[in-house]
Amino acid sequence: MTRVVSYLMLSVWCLLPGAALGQTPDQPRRWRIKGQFSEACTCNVPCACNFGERPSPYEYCHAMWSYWVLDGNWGSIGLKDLRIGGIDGPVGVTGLLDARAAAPQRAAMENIWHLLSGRLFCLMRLWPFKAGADEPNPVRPPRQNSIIRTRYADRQFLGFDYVATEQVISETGMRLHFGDKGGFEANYLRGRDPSKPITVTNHISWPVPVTIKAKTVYLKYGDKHNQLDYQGTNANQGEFDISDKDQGALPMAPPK
Amino acid sequence: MRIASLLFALPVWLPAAESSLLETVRKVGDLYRQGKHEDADKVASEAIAMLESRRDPPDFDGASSWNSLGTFVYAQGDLNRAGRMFARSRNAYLSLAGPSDPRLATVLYNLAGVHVETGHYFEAEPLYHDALAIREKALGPAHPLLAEVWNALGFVMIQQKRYKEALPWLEKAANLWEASAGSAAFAAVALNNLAFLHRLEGSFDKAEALYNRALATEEKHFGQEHPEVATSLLNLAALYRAKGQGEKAKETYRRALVLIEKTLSPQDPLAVETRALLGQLK
Repeated sequence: MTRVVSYLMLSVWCLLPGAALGQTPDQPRRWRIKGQFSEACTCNVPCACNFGERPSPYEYCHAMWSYWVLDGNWGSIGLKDLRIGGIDGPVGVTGLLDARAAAPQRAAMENIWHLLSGRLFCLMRLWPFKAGADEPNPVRPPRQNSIIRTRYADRQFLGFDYVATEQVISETGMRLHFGDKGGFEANYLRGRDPSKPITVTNHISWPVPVTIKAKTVYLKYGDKHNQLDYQGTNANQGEFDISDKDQGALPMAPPK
Repeated sequence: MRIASLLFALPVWLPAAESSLLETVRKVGDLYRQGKHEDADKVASEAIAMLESRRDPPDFDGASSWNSLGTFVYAQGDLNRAGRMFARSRNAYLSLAGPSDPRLATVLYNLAGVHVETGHYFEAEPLYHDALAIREKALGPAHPLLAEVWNALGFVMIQQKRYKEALPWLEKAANLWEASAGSAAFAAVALNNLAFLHRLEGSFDKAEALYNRALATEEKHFGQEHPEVATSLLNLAALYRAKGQGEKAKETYRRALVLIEKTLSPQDPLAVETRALLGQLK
């Protein structure tokens, strides 16, 4: 094998199985999902990332989330009662999708997952150029100095896992579990008027217009890639309504 | 309508070949990450053959796979071939999703990278600008993905000795990455490039401060024993050498060498090169 001279490689072998759905350039894909969104992360309440700030108290913000589709479709494929979730952990990002879905629904959910959560992870791209110490020469290829660009893979999209997803929403809180991998349970935070939870509108991290802020009782997850074990951290709960026409959803990604 | 078009119009439960392609491409990535490069090479050949045997019209699986396999071929040093694969991915995305799709921006970024690595800067720059325009439109003006294009533009301008033009791109990239949670490693890259720029302009003190910031960021992000840290040490050592601080240069080269030997191997070409540099200072 040729010695690697200088390159590679970031992220993800992410594969968009969008083909199956009969799209042509003239027929934009039509989809819409509405339902209940639940999320928790490793930040302290209320998660500075939700406000466009850096995570706190850690330098990272690992998260798990689920979109519970109460009504929705991808083209002619119905998605009612399915859950489209994921985990963004220290090693990478895994899509955690509802195991009850049939094959066409799985393809549809994977597409939507990429459109919503996976946009940033979606295609493999090269690690940024890092200059070496040689004097540049405008007619000569540059000296590239990054070992990662040369030989390492970085943060990855880890693929999809189909799991039995339990997402329960009550008047006092929520619970999300991904099979035997784990999940979280969180209680809503009450404000000055104790009959109402604290809500945030228009925050940055998720395409959910109004979220109820909550605090986790536990946030515990483990698979062969990622392990999380926290408690007393931030959580969000809210209703979503996202479609191919709702471009506001596009920049969304799990908070970093 | 061609038969192929009809097939693609059917939902995924039919074409087993589709999942086979995706699985094969995914396997290439898995093997590569496990360090099984020869196995990855074999599986990549299978995947490329599968892609080559496909007929029009293009589809998203093919578009994505050409890009993924292109990065693999790129890593093997076959830049021309990688460029052709990225071009096929680009053409497929253009045909499938139009000129504003963010996935196209990623492919353009990769294709531009091929041009940069082969010294064809004039070909690279417009591709970066196209990628930037797509991302600005899709992701807004402050998304971290913009920073990687800014960094690339700054890098290209340095290579062309357009130092004054390069400076604002690199500063923007460093600032945005530093302000973006989870982008610490990228911030180190932009800081490194900024340091290099200042070094080339003779601002050695600024360069030293920036190299040290980049180094500290990498040590924090990757840990102290990572080869990426070694390459930053090599840059810092080169700066000391340029400043005429021979002893500091030697000491820093030695630190880098220890790290390279430990994290890569004593026979690694980078180790050999570093020993040669050390030898020149004696």
